[in-house]
Amino acid sequence: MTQYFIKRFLSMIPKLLIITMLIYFGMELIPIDPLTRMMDPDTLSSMSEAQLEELREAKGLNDPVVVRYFRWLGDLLHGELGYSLTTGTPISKLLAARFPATLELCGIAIILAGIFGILMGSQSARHKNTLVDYGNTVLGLVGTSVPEFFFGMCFIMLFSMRLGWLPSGGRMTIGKTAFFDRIEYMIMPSVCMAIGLIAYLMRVTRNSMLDVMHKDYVKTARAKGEKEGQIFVKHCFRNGCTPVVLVLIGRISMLVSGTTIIETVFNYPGMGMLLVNSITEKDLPVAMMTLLLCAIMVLITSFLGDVAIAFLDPRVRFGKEGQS
Amino acid sequence: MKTMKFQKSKDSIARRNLQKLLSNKLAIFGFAVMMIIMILCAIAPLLTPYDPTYIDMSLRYAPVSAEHPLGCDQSGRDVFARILYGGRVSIVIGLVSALCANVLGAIIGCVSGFFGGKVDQALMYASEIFSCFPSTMLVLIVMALAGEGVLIMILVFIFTGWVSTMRMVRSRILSLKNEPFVENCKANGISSASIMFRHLLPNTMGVFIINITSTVAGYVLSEAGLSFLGLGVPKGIPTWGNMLNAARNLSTMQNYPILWIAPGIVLSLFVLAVNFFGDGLRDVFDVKDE
Repeated sequence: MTQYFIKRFLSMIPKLLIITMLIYFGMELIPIDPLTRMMDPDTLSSMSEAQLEELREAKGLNDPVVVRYFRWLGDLLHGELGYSLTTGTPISKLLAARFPATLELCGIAIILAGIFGILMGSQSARHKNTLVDYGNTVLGLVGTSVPEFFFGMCFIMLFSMRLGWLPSGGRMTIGKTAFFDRIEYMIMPSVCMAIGLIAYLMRVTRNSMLDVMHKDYVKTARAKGEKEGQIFVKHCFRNGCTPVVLVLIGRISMLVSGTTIIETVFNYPGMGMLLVNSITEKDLPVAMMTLLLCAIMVLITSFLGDVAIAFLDPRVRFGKEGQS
Repeated sequence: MKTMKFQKSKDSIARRNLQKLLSNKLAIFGFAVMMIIMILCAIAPLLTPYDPTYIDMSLRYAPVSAEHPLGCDQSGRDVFARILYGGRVSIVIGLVSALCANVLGAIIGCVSGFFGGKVDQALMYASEIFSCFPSTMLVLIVMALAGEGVLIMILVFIFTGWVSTMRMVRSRILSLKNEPFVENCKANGISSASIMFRHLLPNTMGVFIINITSTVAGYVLSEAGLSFLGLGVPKGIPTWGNMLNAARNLSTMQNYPILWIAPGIVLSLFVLAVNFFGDGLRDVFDVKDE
């Protein structure tokens, strides 16, 4: 078990290296003087041309690209992510302010999607080919087809403008910063983000449950006279959940992706909106660092997912199905 | 009567599949709606006399009328015309990107599955790295580096969209490559390229077709999303996403709901229709179901 985790954990390192390499390559492609993203703009503006050249040499910008990459990686590990081109703020500061906001939003969306997706999916499987099942299937298709920002606009129209129940955007009221005071700001964006995921999870849960429900051990349990409800929860549900968790983890990257649009619709100051704003303002270093952080986040959640799967499915931990 | 029908349908796989598809009402409904929207967009000049980009400030926010069935937008452009012409761009972007991304994915997947070993490992590793990047963010950044435009958008979609098809085709090839017909090919001295692309790849058609329908839907949505952010197709070109983007501010949203609800509904309807159809196809091609 421990060996499995260590192996999984170590396999993240080369991936992280490649991801940072790609991001660095992207940074090099930005048509700006690298000094502007590495230094505080106040210091830079007070320097003469000769001093700048000196600084360039001192910063090692004339070194070969491999050396520069590793130096940049070192800086990254020390939390020096560079500076925004438009405002001159350190990027680490910008990200530190936005990261928790997105994390909260994604967390709530995942919980919502997990609960509703799995519940509706297992109901569909239990009542296969009935009205419940058809209804859920159609709902699921609608959920994946209607763009999330259209849902967002409809929600704003209905709940903020017509009914006045929820705020149309932002993250908190000034002075009220506790988590529960912020909840009302998170309801609409997280629901919008969850809808697509619910639809998808529902479908996967349904298929996975149907698969499990015809297995021999379920028949055995039934033959032994166990109650239908108990069979469903103890035998079908637990075993049917493994692929669902796998899929949920596979979709986290999509979820983070969705934050770009949803956060913009609801004016929610998270990483997605930071990325969109920085691209609109041509502040690419900020955008690159946001992408890097998101990619790392996805990588780490996929590791956590592997851990969760190992807990759910002993075959994985003991290496019998380690390949799949 | 029933047995006769059964025997007749056994004649060929194609006919049996077609019959299965035709019996799926939701799929047929989806196909019909999809075709209707596509045809309406294609024959747009016959349906509306207006130019979707012609600005007429005297018609600013003109209400719904006989001349302008869906009214006019903030620059006095006819909304109905913009939906029809915008659909052309949106659908073409979706179709072309989906087709090319799937072809690329299928080729990479085929090579990966057939050769196995180091090649397979390297390609799978690449696909894993790719899937770490949230797709919309990656597309946004690549577009910021590469520039704006419909063509660039399609290229970026292709460049970032091959992963899922690659994996599906690869796993299909893995299960096929030990079949006797492949060994037969090898024994007859047929080249690897020919085995891959003439003998193996056609067997993955089911996966390929299903993936195309789902990716068309996905790309139409992505285009809309990016344009909605104002970072996709240049603003001058009408697309469904650009129309939604133009109506994004709160006052337009509240006062002129038709400006965003109309394109939003058409967009959703189109994607829904494609997904209904794709779902039907999935049932037909999914061997597990039988």
